[in-house]
Amino acid sequence: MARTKQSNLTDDLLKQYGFQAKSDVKYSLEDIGSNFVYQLTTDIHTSIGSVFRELTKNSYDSYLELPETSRDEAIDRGIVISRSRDVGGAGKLTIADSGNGRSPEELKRFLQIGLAPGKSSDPTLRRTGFRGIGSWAMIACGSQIIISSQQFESTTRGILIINVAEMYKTMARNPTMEAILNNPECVRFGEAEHPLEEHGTKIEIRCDGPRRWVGSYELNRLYSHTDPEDTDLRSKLLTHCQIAWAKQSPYYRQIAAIYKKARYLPVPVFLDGDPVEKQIPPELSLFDGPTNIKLDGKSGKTVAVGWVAENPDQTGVGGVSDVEEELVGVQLCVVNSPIGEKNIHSENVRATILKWYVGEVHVVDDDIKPNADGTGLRGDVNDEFITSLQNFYTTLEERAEQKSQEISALRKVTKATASLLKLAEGKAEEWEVTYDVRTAQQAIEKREGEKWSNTTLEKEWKAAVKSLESNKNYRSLLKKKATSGAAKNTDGGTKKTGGTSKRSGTTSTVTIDSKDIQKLVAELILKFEEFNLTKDQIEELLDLIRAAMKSSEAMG
Amino acid sequence: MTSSFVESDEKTLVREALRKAGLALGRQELTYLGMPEAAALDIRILQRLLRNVICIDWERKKLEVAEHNISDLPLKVREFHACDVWEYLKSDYYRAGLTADMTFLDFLGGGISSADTFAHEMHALRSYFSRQALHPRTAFVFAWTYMPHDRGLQAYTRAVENSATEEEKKMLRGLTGIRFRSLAIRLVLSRLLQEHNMTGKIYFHALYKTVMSSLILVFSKGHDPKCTLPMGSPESILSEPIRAYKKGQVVPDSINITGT
Repeated sequence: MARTKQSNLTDDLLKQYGFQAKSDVKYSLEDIGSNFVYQLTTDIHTSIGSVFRELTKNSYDSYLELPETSRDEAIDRGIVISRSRDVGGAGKLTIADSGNGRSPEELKRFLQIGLAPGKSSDPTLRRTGFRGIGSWAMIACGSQIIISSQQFESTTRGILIINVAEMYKTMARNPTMEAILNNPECVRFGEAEHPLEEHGTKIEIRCDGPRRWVGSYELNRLYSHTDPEDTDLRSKLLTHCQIAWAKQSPYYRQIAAIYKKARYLPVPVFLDGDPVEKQIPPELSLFDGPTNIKLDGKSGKTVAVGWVAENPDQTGVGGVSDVEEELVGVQLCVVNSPIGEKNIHSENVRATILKWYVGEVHVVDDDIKPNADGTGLRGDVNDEFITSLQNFYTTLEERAEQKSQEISALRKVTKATASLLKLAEGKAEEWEVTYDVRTAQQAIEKREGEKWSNTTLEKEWKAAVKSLESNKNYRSLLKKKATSGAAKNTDGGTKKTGGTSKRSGTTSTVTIDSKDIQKLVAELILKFEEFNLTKDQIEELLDLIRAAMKSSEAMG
Repeated sequence: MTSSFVESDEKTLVREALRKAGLALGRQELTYLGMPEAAALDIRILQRLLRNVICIDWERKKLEVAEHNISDLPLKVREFHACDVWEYLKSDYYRAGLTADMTFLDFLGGGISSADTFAHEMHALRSYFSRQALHPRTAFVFAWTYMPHDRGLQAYTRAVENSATEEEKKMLRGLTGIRFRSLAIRLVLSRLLQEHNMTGKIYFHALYKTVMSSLILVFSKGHDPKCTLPMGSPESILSEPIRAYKKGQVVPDSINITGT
């Protein structure tokens, strides 16, 4: 119907402009320059991570095409990546699956452009590929590519051989796509009976050496990753591909429920025989999810589901906890395929605050799609989604702020207890301890009746307060004036500040210009910002500096 | 993608026996050493037991296809050596990074065919058993399918007589054909077990189509508590019968190779 209407419109326009229809002008592959091949392979899939993302997505989708009855535990689902180098230095990387596979005729699909990809046989599962260009991602990766495939319940296996080096040589003459795709020296199909009823696809990318140029075209882009010693590939897979959380990981049950909502079927990925999987360290014992992320607009429908895990009594999870760098932050995913970098669109919150979490936001709305290389969302994605995502980030920031205040209060109390112990051992002076005790008392008063963000911190707090209050010197020190024990300021507020401190029988004299101190403090504040301290933490440190200054002045 | 391998029921049976022998080792993540055909069916059948594979074949191209065909298996190490398997065992295996838990020398034809019969193979086998002996209390599977395109009885006689004891010679006396060959091979294996104070068990020894023989030996230097098979002295492997399958025969005949 639509086609007829369009045809009428063009006919009408022809007439309107006074032209006769000329039907013998048609398009073919001859009208597409072969440079398009290179653009598809390098302009869209600019990074190696993006290439692996496409390769693993294709394998993933092939499992969804299996007849539903076969998609049970009897089939070993897996995306197997293996690498080898021969003695001559040539490298090879294969990526294989036991999915639905392709018939010899359907192997053609690997080099088709933009045609409708296969369909998921199960409506509760969502495919990742929808453009029909992903396979082109691999072309520049090697000098030869061999794809063999066997469809489920078939005994015929097809093979597609792409001689990339030859293709690029031919492209130097700037021919058309026709001259490339239908040149048997560049692209060749074959088929054979296979003795076993296997199914699935195996893609072998051969690099005849390091990255090199054939004319204006680069090949063997994957060479460095064909080395089994290379550790970067695992990191790339974790960052760019559909890697599921390990079943043994804490909270897997909750995460699996979110996978289901995202219509994702966990398919393990293996690299050189070892599973590549994400693991939540046990110290991130505070789990929150699923959190429905709803569109801000009138519809208010749930478009994504998020979860986060954090260390209940620590700020930040990278460095503090044993979390792999690739996992720190909040990752937006579509069908568990990462979209962009961690904390995408988080401009509304402090730059590093989301490093306090390990988490994911899984899109559940089919209209929210990634762009071609997975670095972001498509331009046609509703802006409301980004606002909703940012609201989620805001709640995380607020939570982090609250936790920061709580941790800060807890530290004041534990510090006061420690200072009291030092006082008892004669290792601290009373005026120092008095300051700590007063600070702790203020923190206790401030937190009176306040709710705690998590029970771990609350328990630690109660224990810390109890310990402080049980110290026999606590009450007596509170009653003393903060300035007790401090000498009077004899300097009269001049620029020069001198001080003499006595402890454990040693004496030291420091003379500092107030301008120097001012400069030093300014530098310190910048450092605090760099260290990503919260406003409260910075203020607390400044309080300490102020107190030190006062004490120093008081002591002359 | 064409394969030179012609799949047969016998091969299937041997592979299944090999798998069961592997299971009897009682440990996982095994290393396979063998000569898989392009379709690599041995490896496929053993896949759940395997962690690493060492594949050897004269034809590099055949190995390339085998490598492609097993690329869907999550294996840790895949080594492919384009050389003679006996040469590999003789010269490279002792210093190799991996020790084979399951070795399958699957010769379509030959297997004992060098000009100086047994000399080459004996060196290779000696090197192989020396390497295995580095792992005490660990059982291994050694499988060998052979179809001798050999130089006749005298070659075996000469080879065995060079090193056989009087008692062994006595055992061989009067034997011919399959019984002679089988006993000769078992004597070789028995002697290798003795050299390393190993125990062993013939898990499977079958004869197909009157010439093709498959032998699976499980052996260990010292008791391996994980292995579920009871093992005996090196001499005990001589007395196990051969199962001979005639065409279409479901239950094989038992041939006692020592003739007693």
